[in-house]
Amino acid sequence: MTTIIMRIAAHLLTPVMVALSLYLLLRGHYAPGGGFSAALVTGLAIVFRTFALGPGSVERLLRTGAANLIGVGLLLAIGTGAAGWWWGDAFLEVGAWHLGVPAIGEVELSSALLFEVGVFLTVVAVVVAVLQELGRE
Amino acid sequence: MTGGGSLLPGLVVGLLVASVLSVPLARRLGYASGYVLSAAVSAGLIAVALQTPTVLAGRSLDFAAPWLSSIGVRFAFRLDGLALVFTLLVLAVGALVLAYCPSYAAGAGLQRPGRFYAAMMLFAAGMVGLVLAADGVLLYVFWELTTVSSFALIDHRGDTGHRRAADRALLITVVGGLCLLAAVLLAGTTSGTMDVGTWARDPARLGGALGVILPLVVLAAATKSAQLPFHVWLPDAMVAPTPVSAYLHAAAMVKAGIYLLARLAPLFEPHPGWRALVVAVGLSTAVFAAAVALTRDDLKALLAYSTVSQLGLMVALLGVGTFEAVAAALLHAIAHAAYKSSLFLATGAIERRHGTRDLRRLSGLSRSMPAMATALVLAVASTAGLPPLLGYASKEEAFSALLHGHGPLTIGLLLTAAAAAAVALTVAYSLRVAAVAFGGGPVSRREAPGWMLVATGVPAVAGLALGVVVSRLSASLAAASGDATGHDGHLDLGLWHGATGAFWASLAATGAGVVVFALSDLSRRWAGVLPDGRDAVEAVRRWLRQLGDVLARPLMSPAPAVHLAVVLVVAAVAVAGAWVHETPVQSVPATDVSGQETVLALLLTVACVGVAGARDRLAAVAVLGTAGFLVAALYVLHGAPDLVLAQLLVDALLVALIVFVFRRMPREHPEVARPRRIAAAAVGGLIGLVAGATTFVLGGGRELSPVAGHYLHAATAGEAGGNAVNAVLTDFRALDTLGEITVLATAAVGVVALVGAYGRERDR
Repeated sequence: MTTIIMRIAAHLLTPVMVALSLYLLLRGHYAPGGGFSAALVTGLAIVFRTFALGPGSVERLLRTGAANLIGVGLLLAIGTGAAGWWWGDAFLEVGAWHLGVPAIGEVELSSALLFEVGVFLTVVAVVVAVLQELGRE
Repeated sequence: MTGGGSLLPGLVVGLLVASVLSVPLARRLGYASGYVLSAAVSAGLIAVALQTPTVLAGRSLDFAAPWLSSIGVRFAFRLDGLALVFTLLVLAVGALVLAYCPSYAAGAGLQRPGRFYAAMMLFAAGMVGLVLAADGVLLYVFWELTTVSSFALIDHRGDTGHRRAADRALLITVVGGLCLLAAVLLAGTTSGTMDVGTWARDPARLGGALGVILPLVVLAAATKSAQLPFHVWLPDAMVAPTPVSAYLHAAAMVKAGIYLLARLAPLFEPHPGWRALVVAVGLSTAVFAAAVALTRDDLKALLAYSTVSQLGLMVALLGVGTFEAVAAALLHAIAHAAYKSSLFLATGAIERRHGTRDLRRLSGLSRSMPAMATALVLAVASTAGLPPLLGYASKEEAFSALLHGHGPLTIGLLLTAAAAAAVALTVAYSLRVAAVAFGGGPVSRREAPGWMLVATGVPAVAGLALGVVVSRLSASLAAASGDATGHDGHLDLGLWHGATGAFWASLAATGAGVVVFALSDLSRRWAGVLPDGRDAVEAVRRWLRQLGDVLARPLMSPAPAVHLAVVLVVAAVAVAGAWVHETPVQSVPATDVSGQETVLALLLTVACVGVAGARDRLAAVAVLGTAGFLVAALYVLHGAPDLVLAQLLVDALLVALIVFVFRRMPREHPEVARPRRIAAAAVGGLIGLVAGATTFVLGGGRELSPVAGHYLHAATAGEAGGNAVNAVLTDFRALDTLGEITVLATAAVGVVALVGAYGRERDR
């Protein structure tokens, strides 16, 4: 499956897929998308890359083990939840801030986005972990 | 109630934080971090000691924060007289033992300092939390914390023998822990409060449940404090490093059962039968274990049985339960913690210096290490109960309390006689231990390192100093005993009360002890027949394993199909059962099916049949992917873009992952026997029918439910961005999402572990 076409396509397409995934992640607050869907797109990119370039190609890009990534993702989600006690009065309470950014206008920052990033990282890491194990010769 | 209560959670949380921090600390300092931790524990000790005047003035320090409010569980601590005695004990011995560890570890070649200190500090936190907890559930949590940290410490060296001993200790103490949990929950539900103090103050609130709670409490205390027949784990646990034995298995953890009995002493008042049982168990443990101690040549084993014996005496006193008896038990707990920790620490130093702990081969300690020998003799004298040491005062109080307990004088005399027998045997084995200090030996003089000497010497000297000024302890112990029993009383501790009955009993017991020691060989041969009990625990363990195997066999099949069938059949039966049991809230049959939907449904059916019928694996996966896309198309018809997106992506990823697995497997499915195919078809048909029927009956509902209306409204107003699906996932039902990603992560860990284990198996 490591034909030249596949390999070039993998090099060209995976950045596009990751960009699409980040777009989905950011817009989830307003339109279809969100952390889970974004993670699936990145997951597909990872599968594609693994098919085309071999099992080691993703790890080289990540520079860290999937286990660490899972930990970071879960901690981020739980940490955002715990911070809810600080700016609200319940676990997982969402906080939002409105910032005026020059040239762009008002930008809304929500703790839900951090939570989504936690979901995103966890799901991506799960895909990486499963691929690593199943892809081993 | 007074201010300053936040000291209590601060203390417990501080010790927990110290447990976590000890890992990076030990990475830098190794075992030397014991000094730092000792200083930290000492700071806690001083902070608590400063509260003594407040507590003695009859006020307790309280702290309460809501925890599980819906079931009335609070994060509540209380420092009263009883808790004060135990807290000071735990922190003082802890500080000494931690200062002792660095020198000991260097000599004993202990590894993994981070793990060791983390477990030690976790234990200290658990023990302090246990005695301070004012809430039953909290008490249980800390109780188990001491069990778990004890397991880690017994197993510290990590080889099979240590693991086995740790397993046996865990098996016994966990049973006790579960009994405590049952007792706590029962008491909480019948009395309507989880406050331990309320249970003790007002046992009538527990009503008839008391008859069940009491045996559970007795079991919990007896397992933790190593009473007959559960004592076997304690001598077994002596494989732990010596500082651990000194701290957990002499001074602190085994006192948890004593604390529990003291805390709940008033519960026993309406039940003289249980009270008598506790006294009987305590005294027989005291006599039996003292007799076994006399027969042991390993100094550590002797001390372990001695601990069991002394705990028996304390349990008996708590069983008597009068104001004087509880005070005597607490005084004895203090005296015992002092001399026994000193003896264990001395054992560690002796073993390091002489290379053995065999009493038959040790002698001449007064010449090889004179300071250590002095500490040893002081501690042994306190064990034997010689004046003017603290052990003497506590023994006198114990005799006096047993003599003047409830009931007629004959019972008092009987109890005193039994206790005197234990004391006589104690004197005898104490003399055996003391003998190592004297006699000749070829070794030259070389004292133990400074901190080892300090840690061993301080409790030994404290036993002497407190013995001399024992009357100063009267007020504290009266407060503690008053808090435990609920009766106020006056306590007049002292070394000399005149020629009382207790004095004569003491004199007779000491004399008898000397005679037993003189006939030592004879008595040791006689006592040699006493059973050990380890085999019995091992048998129970094996039996439990076999039972587990039997129970697991039908549930643990290597074939995934069996698990899948179980899940599907249970799901189908549960849903179908719910249908039969009651009509659903909102059943609107889906009769208005459009033409497009019908076409899609037919295509979907064809796809499903295709998946089931395909011989070629890759073809099956491809058709399965098609089925997923058809479902996405159904979502398009219903106008659910979020679902379409998620469905398409999940479908694509799933197919890709399955192909990844299948490329290793044969291209075609193996031939399957007819009966199995019929069974599979039956299971599939069942779940399909139930799911289809359910969808049909409920699927017609088109109007908005109140919850959906609320979500839609909330998603378009306020902080949410307008995407209701996303708001549900990340805000309204964020806890579900958190749970789901946790499940995903757990599944990934499972895949890694399973495939990894398979790979290792294959490589072997």
